[in-house]
Amino acid sequence: MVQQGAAVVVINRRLGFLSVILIVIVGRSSAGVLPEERTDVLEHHYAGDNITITGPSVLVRKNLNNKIAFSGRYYVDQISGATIDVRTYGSPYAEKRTETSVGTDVVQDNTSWHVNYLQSIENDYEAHNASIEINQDFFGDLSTLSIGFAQGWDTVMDRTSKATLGEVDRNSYRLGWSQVITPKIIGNLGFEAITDEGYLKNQYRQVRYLDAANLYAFEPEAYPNTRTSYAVSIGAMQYLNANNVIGYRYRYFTDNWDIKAHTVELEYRYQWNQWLLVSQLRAYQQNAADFYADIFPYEKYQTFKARDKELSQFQSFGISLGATYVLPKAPWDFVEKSTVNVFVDHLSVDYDNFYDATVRDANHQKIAADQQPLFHLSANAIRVFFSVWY
Amino acid sequence: MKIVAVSLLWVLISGCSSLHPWVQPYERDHLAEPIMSLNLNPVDVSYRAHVYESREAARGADGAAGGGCGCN
Repeated sequence: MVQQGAAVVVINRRLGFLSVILIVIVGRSSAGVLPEERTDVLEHHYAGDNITITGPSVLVRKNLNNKIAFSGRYYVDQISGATIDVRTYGSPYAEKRTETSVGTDVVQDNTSWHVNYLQSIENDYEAHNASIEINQDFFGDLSTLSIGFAQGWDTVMDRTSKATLGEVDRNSYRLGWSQVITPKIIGNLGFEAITDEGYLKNQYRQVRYLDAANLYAFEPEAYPNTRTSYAVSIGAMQYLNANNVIGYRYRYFTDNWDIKAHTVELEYRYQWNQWLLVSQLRAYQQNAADFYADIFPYEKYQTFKARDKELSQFQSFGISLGATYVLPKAPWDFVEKSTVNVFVDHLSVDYDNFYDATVRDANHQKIAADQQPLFHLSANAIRVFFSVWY
Repeated sequence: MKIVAVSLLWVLISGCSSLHPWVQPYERDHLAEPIMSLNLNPVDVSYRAHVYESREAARGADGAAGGGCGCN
């Protein structure tokens, strides 16, 4: 049963901060050209951990002339279900998040500017983000340097009264370097530093501690008010022949919550007549934040405490398969190309120190935390979308 | 110390001046093919990044991302 606006909702937010500017930073191999003029209409469906997230997404890019372009994006997450956190100490819920963004690109010779504004609205959270990026081609257009800055400001609200619980300010500093290495290989380097300040905890999530009966009880989590993180990435795309392309990427992440993470991605693309087939493998590993514990020794054990599984130690593995079919030429002159696309991702996460606190004995009574199994997440994400170039 | 610094600078400048683009424009046709696009489908790349980032602590330097909450 799904209840709208139920008493306790647990949502993990990455906040409306990582804007689409990032797509431009590493996704662009040349600063001297505008992005493709295209429109994409997508429908997504995510299912995992007893939750479903569905909704549409529309991305429109249109040039005003050969120097100025505009883009707009609309995205919806329609969420329903009950995640492990909700099943542990909450109630099933349904809610909606709507994200919109607008941006503009300006190109002048070997330089381009990209400015973007994004907002994400929920009934208990509002996120805003503004970003600017400059790209410069040089060295005979073999190299592209990107410098970006983004600022985010969020408001956390009470779901019922809409009273402000706290605010979050974010800054991001980005550097990107794209390099033509050989006639068949293009490489990328990326760096990003992000600072957060403000209400960083989740107002619904709780931590658990060992109670007098050697079982467990819950209390609100408490986070530091600041976080600073650094990430560096290196990757490349390699042209093997007219039908085969491979890509690879590695990212290292660290922050002042003592989390370190490694991400490895491999991609293979195969062109076959009107079809483009894409497969991706993704492996990820992180250790736990220094104030994370599945269960604390006693109530109010320390100042900062979290039981967010995204701050625990875990490994995840993802596989993605996708197919794009180029449709026959449309009868309208302004349409250059159109495609239909289907992509499916499977995600599997094994947690090393996050236990399934919903598990109870045969009489539905609590059991000791160390008798509960480790939690495992398995999820699938499907996207179907139509793209048209003009 | 100054002599070392100037010498190093000179070596760097000399090295750069002899460095020329090693891939000519007419050799870049493969790199320009659509299959080599670094961001093949922006609408999907941002969605996929959103799915992963909302379930992990790591963030940034990712090449693509969407904003908003990662509900889980």
